[in-house]
Amino acid sequence: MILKLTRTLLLTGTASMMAVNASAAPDLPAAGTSAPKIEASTWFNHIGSTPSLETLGGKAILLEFWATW
Amino acid sequence: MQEEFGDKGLVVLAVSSEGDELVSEYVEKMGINIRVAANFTSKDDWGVRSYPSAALINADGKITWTGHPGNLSSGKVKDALKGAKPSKGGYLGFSVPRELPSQLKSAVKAASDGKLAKAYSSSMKIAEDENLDQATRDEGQTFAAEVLAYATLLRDQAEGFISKRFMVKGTDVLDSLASAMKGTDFGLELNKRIAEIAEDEELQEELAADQAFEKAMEAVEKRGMKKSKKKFEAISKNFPSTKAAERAVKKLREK
Repeated sequence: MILKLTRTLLLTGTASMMAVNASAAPDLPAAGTSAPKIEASTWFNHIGSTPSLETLGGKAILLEFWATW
Repeated sequence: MQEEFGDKGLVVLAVSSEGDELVSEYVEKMGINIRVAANFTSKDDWGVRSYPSAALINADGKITWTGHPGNLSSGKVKDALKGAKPSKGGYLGFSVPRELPSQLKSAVKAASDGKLAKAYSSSMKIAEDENLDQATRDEGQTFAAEVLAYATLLRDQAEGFISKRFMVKGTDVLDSLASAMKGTDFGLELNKRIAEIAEDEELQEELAADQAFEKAMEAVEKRGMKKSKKKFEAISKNFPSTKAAERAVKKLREK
């Protein structure tokens, strides 16, 4: 399925280390479990309370793990 | 994804464990608009081992999907959005994680919608209602204080942008906040500050330069850097001593 390439996916272009397959990321927690905490010292393009599971309560979150390399 | 589902209650967070400077430069260079984090310290809590990878979390804080971001379907996102609170207020809206007495229902809704003045006055009404028990009145007082604290946070962030001469962002936030806090003393103070900025020649110059920079960045998005170079050169020429000119020069030097 070709997805609409949003700006988000610009990040994936720089480091596509994983083979593109449909199965879950093996190292991340399984679906159905509670999300671990989300903590970072610096946020860009954000206004308001520091993003965290608490401040984003009631929202759905797409958490993308990436690196500049 | 953020564009498509943002107002339905989806928040996209792109988190990197790398340092501020590295991430900041990358974000600026690539013109990334979504929320990005540097110094993400929860990497081990998540067990992240390869990039890029992603996790979808629903409104109840449960993981509903993990995998390569390129494999995430709209269907999965729609599922995760079930029960999510849509964002009517944008960044003006806020919520507290705890349960509040039913008397504060309208204040809570107003806060969530970014109607901060209403949230404040509704809570203060509860705080001052002598027919209510003390515990409920205290909750009203506390929530009113939280509304004010949130407005203060936004104001401080706006001033932060202004001090770094991201004038468009800074003034946008101040204007939205002044509107949201209209009728309050806080709102009055903001209007004074906005008028002050409007009379400040240096800041107005920086604003004009920043507006030109934003237009130039839009041009890059639509037509690419090569065709937009002239716009950055113009900023450097027309607004020589501004921070936006510095950013324009930096942009021209990028490979």
